[in-house]
Amino acid sequence: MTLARDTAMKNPTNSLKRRFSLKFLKTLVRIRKSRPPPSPSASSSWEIRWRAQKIKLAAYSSMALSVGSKRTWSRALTMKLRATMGNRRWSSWKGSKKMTKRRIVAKKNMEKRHLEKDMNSGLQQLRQLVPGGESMDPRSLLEETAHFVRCLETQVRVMRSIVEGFPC
Amino acid sequence: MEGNIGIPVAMEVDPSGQGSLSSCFFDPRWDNSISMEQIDPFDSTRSSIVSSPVASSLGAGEGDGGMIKELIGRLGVISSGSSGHVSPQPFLGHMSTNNSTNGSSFTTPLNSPPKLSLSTMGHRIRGSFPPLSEDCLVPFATDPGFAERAARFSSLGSRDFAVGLDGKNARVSSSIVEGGDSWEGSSLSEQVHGGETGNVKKTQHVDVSAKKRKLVQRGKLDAVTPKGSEVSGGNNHTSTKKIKSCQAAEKEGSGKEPDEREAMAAREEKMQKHGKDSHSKQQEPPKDYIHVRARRGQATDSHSLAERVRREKISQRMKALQDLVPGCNKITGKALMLDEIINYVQSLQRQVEFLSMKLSTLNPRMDINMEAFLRKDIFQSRESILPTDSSPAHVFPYGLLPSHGTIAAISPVQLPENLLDAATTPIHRSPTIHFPHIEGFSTVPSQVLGVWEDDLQTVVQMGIAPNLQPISFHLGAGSTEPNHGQMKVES
Repeated sequence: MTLARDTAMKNPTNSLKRRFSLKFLKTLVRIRKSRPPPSPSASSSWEIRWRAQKIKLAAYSSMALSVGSKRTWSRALTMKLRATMGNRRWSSWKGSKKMTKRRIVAKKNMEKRHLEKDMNSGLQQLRQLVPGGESMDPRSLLEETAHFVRCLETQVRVMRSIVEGFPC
Repeated sequence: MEGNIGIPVAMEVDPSGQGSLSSCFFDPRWDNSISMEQIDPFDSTRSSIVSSPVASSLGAGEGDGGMIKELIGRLGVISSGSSGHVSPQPFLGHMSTNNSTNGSSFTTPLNSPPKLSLSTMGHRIRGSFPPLSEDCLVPFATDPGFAERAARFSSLGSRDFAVGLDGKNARVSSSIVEGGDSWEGSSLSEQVHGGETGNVKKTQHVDVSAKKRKLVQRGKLDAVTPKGSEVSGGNNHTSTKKIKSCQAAEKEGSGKEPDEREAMAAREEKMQKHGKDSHSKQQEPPKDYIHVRARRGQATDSHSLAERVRREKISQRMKALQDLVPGCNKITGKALMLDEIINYVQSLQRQVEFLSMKLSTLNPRMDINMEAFLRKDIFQSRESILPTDSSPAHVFPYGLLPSHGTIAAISPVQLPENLLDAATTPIHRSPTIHFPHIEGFSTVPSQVLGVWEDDLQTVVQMGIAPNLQPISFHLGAGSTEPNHGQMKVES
């Protein structure tokens, strides 16, 4: 029993889970304490949406933070979230498409290199899904996708178990 | 070993009617010349990538002395480093330009291991006409380093010799290359497989190619004799002064392993002999050593190889992803698989969205609770490896469910330490968690629990949530009758 537990502890995804849930729970507590800013509509549904968005951002950012900077997608995600939170545009954090010069160059390169090779648009779609995937070559894109998927699963599991922990 | 090495003579009569007799001499400076390495098959892909620029330079080297010079420099660098492997395949493209070599290149077994090392040799190239002279052979005996190396080779079980032969009376140092009008570089390598176990001592192959530009090559392929000495010769007649000779000799160790192989030295030389053109040029067509990793019918040029390697890697990643995404196992086809992966990622993101929405609508009264969870979580993560021991939790594996057992679906209270455990359950599991509970829980052997530990569905901890009624389990104290357990679960 202790052996199984030990191996489970050594499992990196397990420690990732632990780190993520710690961070996320902390942020969650803070979010729940916080009050939404005065809104134009001030309706309760707006507040709920605000909260949900906050929680979603918190989930993603704590995931990215718990992964660290060793992964491309987590770096990209952190940058994106930081830009979003700085702009207070929480409602469209995915839509921060401000093209920096670097990104434009990267995109050009990407198009040149990969566009013809993507026989199907699958990889292109995948690029839009995985943070930072716009400028990746297919191989690293697939790698990052694998890691990203694993982290997303962990995230969903933790969040779900938190939700289940609360009776509604 | 010395005995093996000492017989590096390849004689050949040129079928072209030149009737040139070539005798080859070895004066190997082993210090410079031998690089040997064993590469496992997986490294070969990498090595082929590394080697491809070299091959291209080889191909370009014809007709350009400057390119040759560069090539030699590269070869020297490669061979000096331990990492200097060149997989034979890149030579194929080059060799294919030499008409003579194609046939022999394919004679090498397909399954031969991708070991090839190029070495440049600082050696003397003796004149073609003189027969074997002792002074050539002397260095073998006198060179103390040689014996040492030979021992090492034999220990490795593969012996490679790179021997530079030249039919010319010229002394060539690898570092000196004069730009010529056109050079042809050829690399020769040959492999002998020791299917014959009886021949402990294999002879070497000597390949000599001397080429001059504007030369008609006559390729000649010689069968490999079991004795292991093989010479293939082709004569190139040269009107030019420059000769490049590449020599390769391979020798196979006495070991049974057919795969051991040796590598080859490529050397280039320039000779300027105007007057001697008529008589002396003797060529032995390059023996090619081509290690073919491509399967039958596959292209073997470097681009195709690189592309194949790339595709291979991508498909590896795809495979890893396929394992991750549920339901993706049965799908064949990259496009479908990608679609599936995309769908999965999207569904996960949607789930995150949904869950965060759900979390935001939770009962505000739970705030306090959450803090308690959080504290507990920190405590737990710091402290215990065995949360099930530290908390009044009960583990109910599926398999313990007896026929009389009752399953009660309760709304579980997940505590942080439980949360981590519960998170191990698959995502697609239904949110309601079933707690099989049997009276005879205590009778279950501990090792069985240990086995099921990883499968544990949930760990229920009681009495934490203040606004919930604690979940109570009544365990029969005696538990003499496991199948008649009484169970009370309240949610």
